[in-house]
Amino acid sequence: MPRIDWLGYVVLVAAMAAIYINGSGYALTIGMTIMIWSMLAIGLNVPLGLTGYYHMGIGAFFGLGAYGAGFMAVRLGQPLIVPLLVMPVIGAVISAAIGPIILRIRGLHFATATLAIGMIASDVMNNWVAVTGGPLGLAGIVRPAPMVFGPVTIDLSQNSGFYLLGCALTLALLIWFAWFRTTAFALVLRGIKSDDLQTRAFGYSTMRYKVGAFAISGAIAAAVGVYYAFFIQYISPEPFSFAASSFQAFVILAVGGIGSLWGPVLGATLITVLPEVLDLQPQVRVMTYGAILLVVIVFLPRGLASFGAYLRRAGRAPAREKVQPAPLEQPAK
Amino acid sequence: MQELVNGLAQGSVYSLTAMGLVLIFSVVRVPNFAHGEAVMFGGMLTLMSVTSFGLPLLPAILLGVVVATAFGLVLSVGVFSRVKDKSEIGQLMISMAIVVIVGAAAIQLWGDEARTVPGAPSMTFLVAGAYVPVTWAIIIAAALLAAIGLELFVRQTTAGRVMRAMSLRPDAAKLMGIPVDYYQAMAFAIGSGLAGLAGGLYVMAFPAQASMGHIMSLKSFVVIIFAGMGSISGAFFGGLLLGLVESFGGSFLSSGYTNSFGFVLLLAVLLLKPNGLFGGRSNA
Amino acid sequence: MRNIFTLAAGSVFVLLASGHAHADTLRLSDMESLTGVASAVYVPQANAVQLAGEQINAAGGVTIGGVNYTLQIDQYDDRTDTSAGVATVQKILGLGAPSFIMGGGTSSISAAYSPIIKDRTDVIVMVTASLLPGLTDNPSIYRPRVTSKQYTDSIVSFVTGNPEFKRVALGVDNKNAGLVNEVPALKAGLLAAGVEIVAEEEWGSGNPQFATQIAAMSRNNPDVLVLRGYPADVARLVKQARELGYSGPIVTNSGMSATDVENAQAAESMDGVVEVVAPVVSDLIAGDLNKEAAQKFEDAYQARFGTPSGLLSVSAYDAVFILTRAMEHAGTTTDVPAIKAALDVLKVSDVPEAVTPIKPYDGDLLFKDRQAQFVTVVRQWKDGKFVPLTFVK
Repeated sequence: MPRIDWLGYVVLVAAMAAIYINGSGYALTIGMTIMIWSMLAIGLNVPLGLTGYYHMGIGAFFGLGAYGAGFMAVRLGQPLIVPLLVMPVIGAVISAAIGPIILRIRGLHFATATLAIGMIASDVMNNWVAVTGGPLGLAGIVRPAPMVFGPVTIDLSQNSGFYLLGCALTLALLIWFAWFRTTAFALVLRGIKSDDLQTRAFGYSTMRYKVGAFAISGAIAAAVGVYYAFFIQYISPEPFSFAASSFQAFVILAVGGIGSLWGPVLGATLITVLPEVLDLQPQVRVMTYGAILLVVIVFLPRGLASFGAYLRRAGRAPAREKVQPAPLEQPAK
Repeated sequence: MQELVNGLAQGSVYSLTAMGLVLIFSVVRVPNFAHGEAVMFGGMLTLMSVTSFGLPLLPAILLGVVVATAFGLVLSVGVFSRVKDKSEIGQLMISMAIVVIVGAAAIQLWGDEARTVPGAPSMTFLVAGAYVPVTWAIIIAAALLAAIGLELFVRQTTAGRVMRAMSLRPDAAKLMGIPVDYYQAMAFAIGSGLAGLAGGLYVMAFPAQASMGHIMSLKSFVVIIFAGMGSISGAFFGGLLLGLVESFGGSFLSSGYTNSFGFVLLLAVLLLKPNGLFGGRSNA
Repeated sequence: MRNIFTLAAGSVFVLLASGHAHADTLRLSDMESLTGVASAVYVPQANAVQLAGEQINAAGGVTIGGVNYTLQIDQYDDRTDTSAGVATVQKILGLGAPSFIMGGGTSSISAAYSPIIKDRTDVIVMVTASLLPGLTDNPSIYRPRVTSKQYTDSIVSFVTGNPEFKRVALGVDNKNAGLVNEVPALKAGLLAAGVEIVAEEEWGSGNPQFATQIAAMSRNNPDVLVLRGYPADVARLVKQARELGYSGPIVTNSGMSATDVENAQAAESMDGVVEVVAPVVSDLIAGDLNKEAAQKFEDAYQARFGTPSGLLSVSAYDAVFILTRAMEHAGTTTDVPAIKAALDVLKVSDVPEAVTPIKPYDGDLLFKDRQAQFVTVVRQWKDGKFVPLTFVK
């Protein structure tokens, strides 16, 4: 039975509620941006955090979901629910199809192969004008009309309603991940991370598990893409370029804490809020942002999620001078 | 025929950069994503010394190489030798943060317009029906010379042999009493110097800009991965091949997909020959 | 870049000042891509907006409805990022009504915030950056900036007007939404006049090397190359085309300045190149069109920022005057529908400060359906500079 970290959920829900009560378009937009990155980083956490595969092409699947949603909404006139159900399946199927081919390699090789997939996807988005609109993108993605259930009205057309949908998706995904990482499936993934060969020697068909992890991340990224498309209501190739998507998701996860439950949320919050609050001359702000990243990586190698553990260690250190450093093995929260 | 020349010129820039990266990667074993910043320093220093300080082209390129080399030394001594305990991903992140900081500082200093250096020779030769600007010929020749020189260095000199030993058996090298830090710094300096040379030559024919670094890093990683890590001649030929594939694909198939042709090649190689096109063994 | 520091110090000062702003302060928000991939294009635009504000204030501010206002221009950086751009607009809207937004961000950014402001009656965006077609369908968006469509018509008439141009090779920046949108119209216009399109090549903005595109175009023996894209790219493309042996005529549509040509070291390769474009400051001065205003603007810009103005500087500069003049006419800084009504009937002659040569609609109107139209120039590069051949008024 996994220990449930109630405190984390309480703080998160309180923060979500605070943004909702604030209610300004700005706060809600920032809130939704944070949630989009959190969910994408959770998706990345499955192959990267649990399985140890440096997936550098999650932007391709994020873009797949967004363009699928855009195409269905603008060209086929489908409501939000259709792409939200269909695109994750397509994302998973495509991942499952290419997974067995590229998951034979790992390390930097795998990173570069997935980078290539992301780059090719970017070129397709920009050049396949008939479907993607090329650089013109797809405009006119309309959010769902208000739905009335007796006394309760869910109005996803407004930022506040759409924000709540994001909260629900984010919380669901977090709870799912908290459960998933305790399953036998995830245990095998961790086994693959530490020693693929040995895991195979124990009789697990590791390729099947790796493809599973890859497909899960593809499905999550595509779903997040659908949410993004309806959030921003216009899609064009730039947000799915390597620097803007795959790289950003990777940085968020690495800063937040690879493999950890709360890392994606913490990383997404820091990376989204930092440029907003650093009120400096533009390039100085970028430098400061880089310096803060550097500090986090150097001093918190296990990410923001390990901050509590870091403090505890630091507090204990004087009493345990010259003794073994505190074990790094405790699961980061 | 023209496509061949185009591909060789672009590919030579990839080659020069990738050879520097492969040296650093095999000897020091850090994923130095900041490698492209050395190219940027080479290009921007060459450009700014000519346009702002009126330096002649040759000393300007030399200055660019010197600064890029110094940048490599700073990276090695000041950064990577201090974070040896970090995981590979931590080191990658650190180099990425350096890219962010250095890139922004360069934009602050020099602006982000793409610029070509004035005063480069502007003749063009006609070779077998293809036009070859003399600057391109210089780039191609420099890449070839650098490849030969670097191969000779790692095979014929003591320092080069030590570096090869370190790349083959890092632990053994340490046990043998080799001053690992010293040679790692040397590899960083040479590798970054080559990248600086690539930048200085590049800016004679093509534009350099403050934000160019990360693209060069990406392409170099692509080259050393599909060429096979740990091989200098592999990086050389890999760079040329990438340039040629982009050139022919872009010209005969679709110029909108120019980048993709290189990446398709990369995927094909990784799937058919995971250790790389020219790599017998793998360092991965 | 000392000038950027000055700019920074200036904006910090403005930010500090905003804490105790007086009732007679008129706030304009300037949203620009100050960092990220498009910053080289947008920083000069942000500078020009800043300059316009400073000049208006130095001349005593603006008097609207009997009250004297000092302009306060707040800069916002959308980081060339769509989500950040939407957040920026939300942030500006959240400051309290009404909102006046200058600059307005890249095509992607403007398209993304467009739905947010569509139904609002407390915001006006003066878009001077994005060329995205359809943007001015939004009742909150005014665009005192040329559209790529106007260019297309001018290019077609120039190319089809030359009987020697029978085989055209086309090159277009495939990341520039405004230009990609015009490709079908450009092709249709050329084909209708019996001109054959023998090659169609593309590149992405910022591409360093065009040998691939040039080889593909040259192979088909065109009579003329028609190249549309960002100035820096097109200058480089022309240079490389000459190096790679293409010696025929070239028609460009980019807005190149002497600086762009110099940055690409393309001066010698440019001889004879004809460009169809909205005139930039140097054309106005050389061609004696709005010469005085153009010279005054350029001198002030260079004195203030130490560099020549950019392609997008002047239209943003004009936009400040256009908006404040409409407010003067409406006699209000808060009643946005009244200000829009004033913009709709604003005459070109009402804004003598405007540097760009605005082509009036019937009745001397500046906007029609919130879009302004401009005189275009056909200019040719001769002996190290562009010489205007004709202005298409």
